[in-house]
Amino acid sequence: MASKKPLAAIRGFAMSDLSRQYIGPTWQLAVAAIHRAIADAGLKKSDIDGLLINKSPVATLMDLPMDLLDYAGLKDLTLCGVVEAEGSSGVQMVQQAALAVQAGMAKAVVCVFSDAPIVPGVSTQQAFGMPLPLMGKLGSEAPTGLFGPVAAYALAARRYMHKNKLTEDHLGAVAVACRQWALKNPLAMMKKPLTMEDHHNSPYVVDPFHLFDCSFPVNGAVAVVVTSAASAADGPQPAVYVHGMGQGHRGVTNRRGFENEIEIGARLAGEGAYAMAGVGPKDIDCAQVYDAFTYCILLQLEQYGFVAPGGAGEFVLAGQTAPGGSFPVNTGGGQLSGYYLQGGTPLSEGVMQTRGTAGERQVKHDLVLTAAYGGRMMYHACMITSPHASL
Amino acid sequence: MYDITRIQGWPMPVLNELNRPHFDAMAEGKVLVQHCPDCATWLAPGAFLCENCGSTGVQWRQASGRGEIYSYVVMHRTFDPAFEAMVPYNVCLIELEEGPRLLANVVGVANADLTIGSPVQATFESVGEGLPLLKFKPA
Repeated sequence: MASKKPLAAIRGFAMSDLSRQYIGPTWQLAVAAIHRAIADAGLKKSDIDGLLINKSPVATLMDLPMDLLDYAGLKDLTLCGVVEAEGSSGVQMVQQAALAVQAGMAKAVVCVFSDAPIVPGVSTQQAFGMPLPLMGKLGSEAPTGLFGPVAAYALAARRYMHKNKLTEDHLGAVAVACRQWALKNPLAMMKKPLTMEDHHNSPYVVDPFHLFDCSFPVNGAVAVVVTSAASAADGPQPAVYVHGMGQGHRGVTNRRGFENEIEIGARLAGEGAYAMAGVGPKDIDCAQVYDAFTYCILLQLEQYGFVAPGGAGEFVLAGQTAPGGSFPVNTGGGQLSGYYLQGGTPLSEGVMQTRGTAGERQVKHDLVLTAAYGGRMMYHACMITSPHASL
Repeated sequence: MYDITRIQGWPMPVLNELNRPHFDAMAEGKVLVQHCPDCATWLAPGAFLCENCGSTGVQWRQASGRGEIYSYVVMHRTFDPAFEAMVPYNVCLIELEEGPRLLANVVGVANADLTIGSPVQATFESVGEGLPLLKFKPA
């Protein structure tokens, strides 16, 4: 590996309480996570001079407003804004904070994701039931009845499965591996063992997706404090050094010759991050990726270069991403079996693994890839972190 | 972007200059997509410019209505009351023989018999309270 200095580091990290019940408004969960993350960093509120906010695409600015800084009691910030890049924002916030710290615009930036999709009287199906704009400006989703992320992703998964001759066993293997990790994670919501048979017997939501192909929404918040590498080295927690960052936004082309379901911006995001860190996919010890649906793990394994194109189904079926496998993926259970907090899910597990504080589920963590995406895998952001200041 | 409204009881995109010709043509039984006169690329409707050559001179043009199933799903839950009686219903991504892809329901075939690559032909059916909509049927 080349000798590289980190761009910045995560000095503080915390989460609010997580629940399948309504436990308070989005801003309140955000404030709880912010205050805990500042304490975790060994800092005072007055040390914080930056705030980056990531609200859910299905929430409004009323839910998580700019004046969150007042609710959190932060003053005299030199950086404050909302990062609006859908599900990729969880990682994009850290990237933007790292750039701001490098440029000297801020010294300690709190980045927060918060969401409370579960409110009395509204099912999560209703909360996430909007049509996704797959067809660009046309809007033909609604009249055909293609509503919700489940349908949009199922349509992509079918094409991917057809192309690579995959069956529901390959999707089921992803769900089973994630559940195995979740059983080792005290934060995970799904605590019952899951078999391939359980997966296949769960009802279809949108064929080819069964219930257990879909992630598990919760109410909760995740916050990190991004500082310089030197500052993080002085903190009370193991520093999470950021060595590489990348983004990839490929655009959607709805015509022959372009397979939006198989070639995604993750490839570009990964190439950027690997080049910046001076490493390659073979050097990465584990990956924490956005897994709203089982298919998403398979495709990202290929696009981030961990498995050859078309090979991810067999790789996961062979148990390689599960506990004891050669390449651990979503070691907290991911969004499928852990908790769905959009980009906050891979971010949280990426931090815990890099710190080495993941307890029973801790894996080798010299280099960790954390990746998040938004839309139907349209907007990608990733980072490579390490407990080592130099690689 | 577009907003969703309800026409004749059916969920529809709010029409604008980018998508109106495509939906208006359904009443005349035509599949209207876009075409670039500069590089001869057929484009999926809703294009502001030609994504191949960048030309802003894209034109509306009638497609043959022939195509094949590129991918499909079967909705086992409904997210809108208009579709409640149809569950389980299919939604397919159709690749027209000219190249552009369109989302549509395929009629006249059991959901279990849908396959990627099967040939389909445009057909028009009234939905809701009489709104003509583009569908496809086995060719």
